[in-house]
Amino acid sequence: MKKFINDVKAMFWRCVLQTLRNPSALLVAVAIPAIIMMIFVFVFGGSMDVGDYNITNFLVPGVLVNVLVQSSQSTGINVNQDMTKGIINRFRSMAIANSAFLIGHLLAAFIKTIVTTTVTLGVAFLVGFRPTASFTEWLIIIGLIALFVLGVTWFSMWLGVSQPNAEEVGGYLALAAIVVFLSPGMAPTQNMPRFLRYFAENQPMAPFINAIRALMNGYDIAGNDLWLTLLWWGGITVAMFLLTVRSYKKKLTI
Amino acid sequence: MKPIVTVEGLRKSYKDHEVLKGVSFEVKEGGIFALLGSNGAGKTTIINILATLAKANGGKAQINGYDCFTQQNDVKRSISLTGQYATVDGLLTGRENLILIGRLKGIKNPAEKADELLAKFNLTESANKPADSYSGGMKRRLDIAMSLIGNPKVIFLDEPTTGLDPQNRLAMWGLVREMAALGTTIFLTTQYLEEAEALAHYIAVLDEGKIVAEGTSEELKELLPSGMIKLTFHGSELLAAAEVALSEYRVANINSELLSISVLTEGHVAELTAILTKLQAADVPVLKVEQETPTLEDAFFAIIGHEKESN
Repeated sequence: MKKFINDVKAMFWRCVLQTLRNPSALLVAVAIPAIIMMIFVFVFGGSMDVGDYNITNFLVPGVLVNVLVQSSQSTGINVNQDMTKGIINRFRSMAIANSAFLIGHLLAAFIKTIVTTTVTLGVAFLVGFRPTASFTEWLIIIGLIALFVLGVTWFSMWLGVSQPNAEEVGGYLALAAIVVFLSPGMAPTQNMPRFLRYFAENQPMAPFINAIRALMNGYDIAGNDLWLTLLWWGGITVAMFLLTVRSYKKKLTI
Repeated sequence: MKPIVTVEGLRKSYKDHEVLKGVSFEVKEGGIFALLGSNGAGKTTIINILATLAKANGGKAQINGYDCFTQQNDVKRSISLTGQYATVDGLLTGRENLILIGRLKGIKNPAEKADELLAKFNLTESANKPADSYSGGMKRRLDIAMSLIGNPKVIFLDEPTTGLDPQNRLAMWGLVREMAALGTTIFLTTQYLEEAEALAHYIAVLDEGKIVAEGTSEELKELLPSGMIKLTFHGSELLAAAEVALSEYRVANINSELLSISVLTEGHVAELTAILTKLQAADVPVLKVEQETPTLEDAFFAIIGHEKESN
């Protein structure tokens, strides 16, 4: 056990360094959230009717989801490069648990997420984000974000392990980041065509966005949004975790 | 001396393709062992099995007294593996790469050991630059330095000079000899006979999943045929016809540009007569006949029975 913790710590240290050394990962984790936040508030926000909400308050959950998905890209890409460029074989020829490798990436992804979330919310404050959530509500918000990040990170790691190259990993995650536009996150759903509206209101990101938006603004969470969020993202996390482990074991069998 | 690596009847198949067809050999402790074979002979598969990365379908393998199939962690603690491509983390600096391995191997002072190895491998100047910025030779040196951490009993080097220019290749040879001088057993694979001859104390020749010859380079040289006859023809059709006519002889070399074929003999004059008679019977006129001295390379290609195109 002591050796396992030592190995995980070493892997975590390595993955954090990887993120710090990769300019595009830093850009995606820090600069892009700031830019997207400002674009939505200043470019699109003026022409949007979001009812009772202050426009920034309305946009924060959607923008947050978008940037968190984007910032998970580098995790999948790093995993993919480790798998395809042979360093995994060096690790495997050493007396360390195979899981230490994945856990190291997962923990580093969490650190990156904390930075991304902080920057996004920080910029949001500067451009007019005025949440009214209580301390307890914030704790729930943070818990839900953590669960969402867990699901997205395992999805990214699954792509990293299973895909043949980094381009494919990046491509699928870019697609996932676009799906957030088909949600209640970036614009109200009432004006969408019927089919899109149905998708937008029922896709897994929708209850999560609705739930944290309500919590941030001091509203009651509507209907089943909280339970749906837990169910969707708990389920996605478990499914992606199992897929990753299966694919990882398969790749390690040579 | 007790063998440090024992391989017995090792078999491995991928789907229908049988890569290893019962490989057996022993590696004595200390010194340099070379597994020599052409591309696709199964060298990397053997290394992967010994390093516990791959499972065999049959046979036995032991390293340092531990079973490669049932005592994997003990085997892993006894070895280190340097793959065919430099397996360094490009985003980390050279120093960080060494520290990472030191931490994973659980040594006492990873940073101290890293600095020591950086100095030894002439990498101190670039110690704090990302490994991606290193030249091919520097990456290989870093790779080797990483392999030395934790004092493994056996170091596996899978084609350590593939892709290196001649200068770096010589430098790598020097490093391999230095490592061996420290008492570590070096197990290397190579496609180059010259490399095996220059470095190894013992050579095993692997071809199509089987060991076809083994011994010291002197012993292998004794397998050398004593004579070689080089026959030159007028055209490529005649060369092809000669190849068919001489199919029962050991052919060391066929050169399609010079239109020549080199046949190994025992050095008897009667053999020359027999060869020429065979060609005459097949209606293949010979342009030129030359007596040549076979090299170890000719012997190698004769042993593995592959036709070699040379210029």
